[in-house]
Order: sequence, then structure tokens, then C-alpha cells
Amino acid sequence: MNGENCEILCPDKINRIESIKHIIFLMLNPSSVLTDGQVHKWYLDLILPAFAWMLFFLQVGLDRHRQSGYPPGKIVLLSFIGLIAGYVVVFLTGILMSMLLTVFGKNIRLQLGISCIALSHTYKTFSLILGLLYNFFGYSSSVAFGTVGLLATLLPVYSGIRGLTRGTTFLAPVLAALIGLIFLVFWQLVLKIGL
Amino acid sequence: MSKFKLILIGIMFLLFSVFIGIQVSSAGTHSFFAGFIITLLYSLVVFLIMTVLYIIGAGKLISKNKLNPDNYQSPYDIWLISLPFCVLLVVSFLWLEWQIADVYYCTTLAISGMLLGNALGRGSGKWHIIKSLPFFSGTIFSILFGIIMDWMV
Repeated sequence: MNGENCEILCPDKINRIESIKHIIFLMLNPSSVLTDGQVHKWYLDLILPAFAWMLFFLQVGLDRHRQSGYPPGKIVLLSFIGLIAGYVVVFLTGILMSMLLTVFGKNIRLQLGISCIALSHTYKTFSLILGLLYNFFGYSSSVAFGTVGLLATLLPVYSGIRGLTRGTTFLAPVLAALIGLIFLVFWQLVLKIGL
Repeated sequence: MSKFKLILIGIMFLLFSVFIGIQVSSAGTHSFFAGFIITLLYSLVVFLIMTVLYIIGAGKLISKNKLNPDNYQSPYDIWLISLPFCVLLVVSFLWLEWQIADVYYCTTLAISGMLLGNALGRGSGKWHIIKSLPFFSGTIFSILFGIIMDWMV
């Protein structure tokens, strides 16, 4: 098979395109992770929230720099803490959500819970990229864009849990509230402990 | 059950109105009651319009066989997304002292519109204005409230 034919027919290439399409679909529709039941490479999915939280703490650092001359080294350190802590906290929250769903009679694999919460950070990432642009024009953006991003993260979590638990109306809002609270406390802990 | 959900959604909007009232009064431009009443009335109008748009849209789509009646979701269940948002608003307002009740409120309207649209099948199959109306209305009401808040604060 020559190179030109492989451009069209090569199964490896088709598989790669299909898997990229699938990843993009899941990033835009993370609640389907819970309902379709397909296991993903959750450790790779967690890169997305790690990046989102890094962007967020970068904006916090930039806001502080503008307001009180926060040193650039500390901005980098704060962003790095966001990157690592974002990865770990979203991982733990995914495990907690899966366990709670199991307690309430919906037995889902731990990996699915982690992937769902991790991929739910797509909207947060968009929000924070917009916030960063806003920040470059000299406005404080971290709290407003961080909050919108946090709330947007709960949307697929809420939809996913609701899809799984039809008939139990209040489980989805209560679990979404709990996950939101965990993220809010995490946000404050990083700011309090980390510099 | 539906009545209980409706009462719960009402309490959420009442809480949004209280916190927006406090935010407006602490800015010193208008009184607490101005912010409270405007937000409460606005919420009532928005809730009615978006819910009616959703119910009419679902009815039309079902009659045209474009929505499976088994997949119909109660609008009250969808509006319950305001519960986690309201919890976060209360925590961040009282604990962190963030006066951004309007950010929470506007995001709630926009996201509820998105969920109502999704429940009608927005984003799947052929595009239809009926499927997207709740989403558009949520976005427009959200922006409109941002303008009202800008005037109030």
C-alpha cells in the first residue's frame, strides 16, 4: 500500500481520528461518560482540570501582582500548586462521587466518576481562558471567571447524575452542591496555605 | 412532589433576591428592597417565560414525533440546578464575603436555559428554533439582568 492510499485507508489513522473525535465529543458532553459506561484513561483526563486550576491560580497571582506587587516567582509557584492540587483534588472528588453513587444504589466504576468530573472542566477551561484575556486588558478576573467556571463544571456533573438516577430527584442537586463545596474549599485552602 | 419542588425553586429565587438586595444596599446606591423586589419579580417573569417556552416546545416536538415522550423531563427537575448554585452563593457570600450574587444568579439563568434546551434535544438531530429557544432566552435574560444590576449598583 503506497503512502497516498494510506492517507485514505490506513486503519491506524482512521482509529486515531475516531479517538480524537470521541475525546472532543466527551469534552463537550462529559455527562455521557457516566451513561455510556466506557472506561477511559482517567489519568490523562485529569490533565484537563489540572490545566484549568493552573490557569485559575495564575489569574489570582496576576490580580495580586497588579494590586500589591506580588512577585512573579510566587505567581509561577501558585500556578504550579494549582496544577498539582487540581489533579489530585479532582481525582479524589471523582472517587468520592463514585462511592456516594454506589451508596445510593448506582454502582459505577471509579474510573468513570473520575473521568466525568475531570472532563466537566472543559467549560471551566473556556471560562478561564476568557478570564485570562480579560486579565491582559488590566481587569481583575479571577473571582468572577473562576466562579462561573466552577458553576459550569457542575452542569455536566448534575446532568450525568440525573441521567443515572432517574426517579431520585434530589440526589443530583445534593451531590452537585457537595462537589461544588469541595472545589470552593479547595480553592480557599490553596490560597490560605499556599502563600 | 411537584409542589414541593416548586416551593424549593421559589426558596432558591428568594435567597438570590435577598443576597442581591444586600449587595445593592451595601453598594449604597439603592435600598435593599429595591434590589430584592426587582430580582424577585424578574425571577418570577423569567421562570414563567422559560418554563412555558419549554413546555410548549416539548409539546410541539412530541406531536411531530421529534421528541420521545418517555424522554420528557419535568422542568422543575431541571430548575433544581439552582439548588447547588444557591448553596455555593450562600457559602461564598457569608464565609468568603464575596459580593458576587449577581454572577451566581446570571449563571443560574444561563445554565438552566442550556439544560432546558438540552432536554428538548438541542445539539442533536436537525437544528430547530424550538429546541434552542430556552437556551437563547436564558442567555438573553442573563445578559439583561447584568445590565439591570449595573444600573442598580
